Amino acid sequence: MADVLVVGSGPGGVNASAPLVAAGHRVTMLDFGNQDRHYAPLIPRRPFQELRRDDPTQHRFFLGDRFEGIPFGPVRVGAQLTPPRMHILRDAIERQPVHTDGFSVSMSLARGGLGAGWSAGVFPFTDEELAESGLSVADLRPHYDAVAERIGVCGDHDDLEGFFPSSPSMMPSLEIDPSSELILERYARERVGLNQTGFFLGRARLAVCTRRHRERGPHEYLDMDYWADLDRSVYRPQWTLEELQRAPNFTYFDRRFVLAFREEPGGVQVRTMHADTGAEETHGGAALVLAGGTLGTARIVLASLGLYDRPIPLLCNPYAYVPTLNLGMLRRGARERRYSLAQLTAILCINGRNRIVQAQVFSYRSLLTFKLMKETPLAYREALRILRVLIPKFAILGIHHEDRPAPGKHCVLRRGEPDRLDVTYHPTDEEERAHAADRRVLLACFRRLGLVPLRTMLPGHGASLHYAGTFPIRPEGDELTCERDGRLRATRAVHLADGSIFPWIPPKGLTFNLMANADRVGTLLARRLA
Amino acid sequence: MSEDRDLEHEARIFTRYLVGRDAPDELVARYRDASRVLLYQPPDAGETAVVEYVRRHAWSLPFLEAASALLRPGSLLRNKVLMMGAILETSPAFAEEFLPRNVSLVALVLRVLASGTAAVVRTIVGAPLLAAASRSHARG
Repeated sequence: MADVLVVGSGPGGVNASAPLVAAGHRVTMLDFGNQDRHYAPLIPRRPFQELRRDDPTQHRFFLGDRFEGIPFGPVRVGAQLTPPRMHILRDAIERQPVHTDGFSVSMSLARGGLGAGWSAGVFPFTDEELAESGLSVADLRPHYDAVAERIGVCGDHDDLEGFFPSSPSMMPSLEIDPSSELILERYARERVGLNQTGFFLGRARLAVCTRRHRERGPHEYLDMDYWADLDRSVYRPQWTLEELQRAPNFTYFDRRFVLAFREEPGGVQVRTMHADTGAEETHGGAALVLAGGTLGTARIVLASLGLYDRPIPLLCNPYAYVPTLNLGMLRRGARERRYSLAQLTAILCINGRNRIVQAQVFSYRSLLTFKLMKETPLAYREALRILRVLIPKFAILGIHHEDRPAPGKHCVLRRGEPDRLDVTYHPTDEEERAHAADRRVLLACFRRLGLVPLRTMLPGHGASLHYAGTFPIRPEGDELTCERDGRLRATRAVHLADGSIFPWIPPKGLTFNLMANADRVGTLLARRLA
Repeated sequence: MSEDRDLEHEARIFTRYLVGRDAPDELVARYRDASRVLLYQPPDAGETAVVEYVRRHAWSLPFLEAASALLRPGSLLRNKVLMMGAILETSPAFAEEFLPRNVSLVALVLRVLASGTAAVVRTIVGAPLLAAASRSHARG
């Protein structure tokens, strides 16, 4: 019997395990653990442009052996999930059926969970953003710092510091591309006026090692970030899992699908099914940490407590993206040395700091031209000729809005073989009007920086993949809320360490925050068990 | 076998259309394989007729594709041309034709104007041709 059972090897699972293992507790991680063993060995450690010019096998990993990288139809959620990343979603929907009314659900049974394809944005919450959970930055700061050191974070001390408190271990930023250099230059000239409007811009803070750190990196600017982890500089939870596996008090069981838990005097029993044989097993521990992803954890909790047909809240940051033409780039050329993740981050404060909107600025270079050709209303030959000269001039904005609980946003577990999660997600008209109005103000600010928006694309509800809010931490609440230490009130020793615990989600990206909270949950649990 | 020959013929027409060169056999075979995996559903008769028309009259492709881009963006013809584009883009022999290029501002403006004008003209010519090609199956 372990001291602590941890479910899931995603950002929450590994970061909750780390302090428990460091404190000497026996930790057993239960995980499905899908990995890509097919494409990763095919991808050479070379820059994207070079590969394109002379690698005869590139079609295998760029398009996939089943041509799964050629998308027809409208833009899908997860378009950045290239064939080598598609294992992240494999088996998840078959094992965990979901019925939705248009809400996109992406769940993962991969080693590293959805974190295996994380875009690596690091956006710590502020006191105002944590207040509803009864937590403060002071509670989380040691854990933000511990996680920043563990995963490796790069960034700059710039105008975003007020929104994203910095970390002592922060490494220098990545080198941005000429398009983003121009945007920053213009921002420096327009800064006073833009700041008065509530618009702030700075370099993206990313979970990327720009120097050698924990046997990873430095980032080599291969521009293959959406395809492979060639230099391991971009953080993936698998890197922490590998570190944990070196500890004698950590045990990792993969190919286990967790069905339910049951509390007994002295501990928790977790029932799993072997992914290959279908054999059921039971694992015991003094405490259980659930970090199976918000929707995965919801299924386990509701099934374990027998709470079928009972709605629980569900949140997900509304998301839009806007291709823009950077007019300043019309006279400049692009560089080949670059990376594919976010270059810049912008924050727009609406009504002071009552509400914020966040945008990330990307360049479109490494996701292949034919995917953009599909989005134009032109014949492909003409689209190709135009895009070849315009792509270096594009800046793509990814825009996130906050999300708060509302009666139209919930999920319910329905009994079946297997059980089915029904997701309903209808933001109010007022919310949707506010998002559209906020985007208009944000795009007006970007126009002042020389970016001409071409089209606003709304990939639909659920597109951000930032699922949260099912069992929120609140100072007081019913059995399906959590205490400050992450313990689910309906239980004695079951703690939650993923997106489930956030009572609302600022438009910042959850992953770094849920990792810091998982580290906090693990640390508190380690003290309690000592 | 006849279907194989049709697919191979299409692949060569689409390659000449997109990049102005002939497709090597290896890429033609890849197009055939991709068609079997991605376009396995029985297509709409009108859309099939448009593709058959292109196979018989390769000169019509720029016009029919331009009109489809506006009027039937998810059509079978568009999907087939896109699929060939993806295959060409991920082949070293043709990758350069798809890689972004740095050009002067004048060259950029000229390129956009010329391609944009060509697209508009072909769309105007292609719209009635598309209607006629779609109906051509009914006439056999």
